[in-house]
Amino acid sequence: MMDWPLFSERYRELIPNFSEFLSSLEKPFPIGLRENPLSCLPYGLEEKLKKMNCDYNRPILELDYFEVPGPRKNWGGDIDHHLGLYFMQALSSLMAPLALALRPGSMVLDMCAAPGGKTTHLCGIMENKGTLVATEPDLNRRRILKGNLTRLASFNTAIYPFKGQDLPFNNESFDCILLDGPCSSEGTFRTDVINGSKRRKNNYLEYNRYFRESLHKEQIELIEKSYKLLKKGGTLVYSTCTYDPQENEEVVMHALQKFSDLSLVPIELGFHLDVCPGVTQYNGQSYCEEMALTARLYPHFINSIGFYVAKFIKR
Amino acid sequence: MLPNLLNDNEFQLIQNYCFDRYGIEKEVWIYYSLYKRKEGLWLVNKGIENQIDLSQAESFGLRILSGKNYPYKITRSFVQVFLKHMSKGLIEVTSAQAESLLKRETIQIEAGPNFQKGYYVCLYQEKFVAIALRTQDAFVSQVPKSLTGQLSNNLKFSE
Ligand SMILES: C[S@@+](CC[C@H](N)C(=O)[O-])C[C@H]1O[C@@H](n2cnc3c(N)ncnc32)[C@H](O)[C@@H]1O
Repeated sequence: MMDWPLFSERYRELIPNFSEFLSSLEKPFPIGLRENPLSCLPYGLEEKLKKMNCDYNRPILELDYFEVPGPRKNWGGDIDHHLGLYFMQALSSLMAPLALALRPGSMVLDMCAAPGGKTTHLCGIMENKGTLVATEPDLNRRRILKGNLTRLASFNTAIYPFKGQDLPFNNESFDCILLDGPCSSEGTFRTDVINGSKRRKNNYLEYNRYFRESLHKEQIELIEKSYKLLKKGGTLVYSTCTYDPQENEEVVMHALQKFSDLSLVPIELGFHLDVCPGVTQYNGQSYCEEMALTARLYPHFINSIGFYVAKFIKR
Repeated sequence: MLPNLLNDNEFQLIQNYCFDRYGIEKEVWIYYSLYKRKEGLWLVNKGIENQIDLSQAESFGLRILSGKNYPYKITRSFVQVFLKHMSKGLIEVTSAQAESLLKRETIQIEAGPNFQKGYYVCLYQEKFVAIALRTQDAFVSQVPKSLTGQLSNNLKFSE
């Protein structure tokens, strides 16, 4: 078994059933296909998989989402992928757009949008109606975002090249905001992904205090800006793919303390998902009891990436 | 970037063109606006320009027609949005022809009496495969070079 000092040192007490968590990281990462409801093809994804005699799994019956055998590149090169029938996406990632509980005609902001897994999911939920603003400061990642929006036939989206902090909109412009910000991505670490990946070189696999602090600072700036852009009565979802409470509960706590009209609300998905509550203590820090309304997703409870989601409303 | 929206006359011309050429009913267009940008026409939700300041947006909507003028070339996005409304300009191909089109090869087809030049949507078993330009006796594949390698490696059509 691979040694994971980063996790063992920091999260042994935090993550329930820690040894199962470690073994889950040795399992191959499942490939998930989210069907695009905006697809124009005269057949659905399940029909296609059946026709192919593909040994697929539908982990949540309420969702048009299917897990399929690998390798990934075969699915990426599949004609129906090019024609926008589906998007390859981890199951946990679906939770953030679904948590927003959008109505089709809403005015929505996706603050850190590329490569667009969640943007295209939001478009689908919105049935291409209303307006979706997607911003992404990185040029190369923005190109991928545009490609994905085109591939999945999204036409209610405007793309902006700004950092979230610098968005040029009036305060209280949006009904719903998704802040799926930059994070240390610990939740995506699995043996098969890590082996041969660039991430080793980027200090992701060890706890680099300076790197984490700069991320934390950016996450704080982004959540403060999201608050300002959110209409009264609007919904904000903050999500990351990391286990680190400094990037999760601590950012949420900061927003709650700074903005008295912001409160956490339960995440209602309309189906069961095996999630754990956000933590109320970590490393000598205490957070409020409502933090339990936020959700931690672990790879040994749902076979996907590690993820964190918090849902707020602004009163 | 502010959208250079088509005026009513220009919009009507496009509606007429799409009705004549592809059988798309005019009512389908009530939810959309079109704007001109670079070499093409882009589709957005009607009224988006009143909802949000687009002056600093890098892009918005989908390019559905390319070219500067008639006959516009339909794009893959056009097919994605309108295929379900199209009753003309469609042609069913065989599996071998589908594979050829995806390799950017030209396929030979005899021109019937109602032969009409222009861009066609090629379907295999009702499934969109490619856009092709019909000339006198051939369909010239319009599949972009960037896609052919990826697609033909993985494609296997079976009857
Ligand atoms: C976790 S990824 C987003 C994934 C995306 N939401 C999806 O589902 O496909 C974070 C993104 O935020 C972008 N980013 C980094 N700093 C940012 C900032 N200050 N404002 C907005 N986006 C930022 C990164 O370039 C990266 O593309």
